[in-house]
Amino acid sequence: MNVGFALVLLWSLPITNVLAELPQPQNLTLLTLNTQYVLTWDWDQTTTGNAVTFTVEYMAKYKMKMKKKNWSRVCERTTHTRCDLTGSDLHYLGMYVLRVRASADGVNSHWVYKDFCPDIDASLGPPSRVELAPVKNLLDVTISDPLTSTQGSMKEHVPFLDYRILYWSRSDDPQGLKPKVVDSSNNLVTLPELEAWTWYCVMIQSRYDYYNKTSSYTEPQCRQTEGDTPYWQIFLYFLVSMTLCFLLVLLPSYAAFRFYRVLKNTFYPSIQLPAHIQEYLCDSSPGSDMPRLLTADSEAELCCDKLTICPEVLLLDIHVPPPLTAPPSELEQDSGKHIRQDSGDSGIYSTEGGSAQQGRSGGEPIRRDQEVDSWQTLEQVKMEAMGRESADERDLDEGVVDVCV
Amino acid sequence: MAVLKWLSICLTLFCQGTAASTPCNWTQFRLGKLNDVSIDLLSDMGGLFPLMCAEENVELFPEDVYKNTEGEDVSVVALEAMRYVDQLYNNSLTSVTWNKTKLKLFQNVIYRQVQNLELCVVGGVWKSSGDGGSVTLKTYFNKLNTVLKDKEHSACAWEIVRKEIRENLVQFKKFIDSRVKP
Repeated sequence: MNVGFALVLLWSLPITNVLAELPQPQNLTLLTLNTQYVLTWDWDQTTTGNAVTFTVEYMAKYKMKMKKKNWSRVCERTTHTRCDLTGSDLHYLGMYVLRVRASADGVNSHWVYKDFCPDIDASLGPPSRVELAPVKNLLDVTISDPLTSTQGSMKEHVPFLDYRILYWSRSDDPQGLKPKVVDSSNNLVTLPELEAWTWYCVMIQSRYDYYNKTSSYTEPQCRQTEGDTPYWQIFLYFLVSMTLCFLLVLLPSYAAFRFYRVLKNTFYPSIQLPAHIQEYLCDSSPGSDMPRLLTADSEAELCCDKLTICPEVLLLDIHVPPPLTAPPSELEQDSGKHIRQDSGDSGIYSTEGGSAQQGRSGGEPIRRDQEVDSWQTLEQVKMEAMGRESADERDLDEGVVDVCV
Repeated sequence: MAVLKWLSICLTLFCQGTAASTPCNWTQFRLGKLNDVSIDLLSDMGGLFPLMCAEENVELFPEDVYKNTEGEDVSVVALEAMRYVDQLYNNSLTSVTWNKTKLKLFQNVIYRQVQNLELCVVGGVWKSSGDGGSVTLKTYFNKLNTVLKDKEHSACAWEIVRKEIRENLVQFKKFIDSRVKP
């Protein structure tokens, strides 16, 4: 029985050897950049052909001395030989312990441990952005901090982050073999003592001096400095601005002034028409836009000269009985009418004659030509020359009175 | 007599020299920064001191505990203080209502301070020189431990501890700033 037992043991030994001894992962390495951490290890594929998986865990270092340790699992049964720890709860200032083991066919290898403190071990990245701006004959360099995995600034974890700036003149030193150095912890640095109108190239590295962490350099960026404006350029700008001012300001002003003068002379001329012509041009009688020499109201304007005609009194032998007063007036009227009718040659009379026939009021003036008046009186003299002196005179007077108003 | 005078002068100078020797790198450059982080974490992990615990409150912290440590090395004092805090927080934290992430980070940072300060202090041996400052610190932390145990690690007990430790670290910060020139 003992021999049998021993045989079984001998048989099982190789099997247990194979089962118990799964090799451990080797060469645990951390690839880091700012707050991105990736744990990698080596695994020899030839020893076990079967599918092997790996498990990665971490824990804060201060818990190691406790009895109850609770490890946080990050990568469970991964087939890769790497594990990304960026998303997990590893704080930059904390101290942690990481561990890895391999698993195959239900058998686990031993754990492999590694201490990790990002503050000490995580490598630093270069500045995320560099901008150059020329300021006269100097260059302003604006540096953006390296970024964490959540796009924050690394300065919240590394407050004393410094930058080293290398710069050289592209014309003097095209390869950048002998650059000048400026160290600063500011994000805005002005490079001093540069020449005007020269191309300079700049490379920047971030540094964490306490733990001797330095990042790689940024790609060289080149920019030309500026300087004082040359005199010919100033003169040229002056000429151009003067020409523009002339074209845009003076010419239109002059044109406007001339236009104004033309308008003024057209509508408000300084030389006026003579007064009497202007009166006629500007009269406002209705329905007439033609210049008039006589107005319709010529009756009112007409000035009559009083003409008194005293006929020679002819003493005649014939005695004619004086007619009644009324009929002579009627006769006169008839004769007047006659006369009027005869004297209807002048165009004006026809209307007046009509009105006179209708009925004469006392004050209505009779418009007569002076010639007709005198002719009428002569007629009257002829007709009533005999013994009708008084009547004639009276009639004449009446006629005269009638005629001349 | 003259020889004695000379010797005493040399000794005084030597002792002063050792006492005022430049602190190690950690103490000079990192201690202050990580202490600030610890203070912020303590403030942020919980809110203001809860009213319901006001009755149980005790004011233990002695004002001048760090002022009495003029003659001692900064690193030694720092190491003692950090060790005490670390030990205190090793007690049961089940009843606290604080932000667990911040609490863990706080413990992490305190432990890191201890580790690095141990490298600074020669030999890393626990030594209490028995002088004024050290005794006061020891007494103070013993009292805190007693309070915690008496109240059975209740939430209120931990709130008292948090308040006290925060005040302690603020005084510690002033102590570092006065002793260490960056």
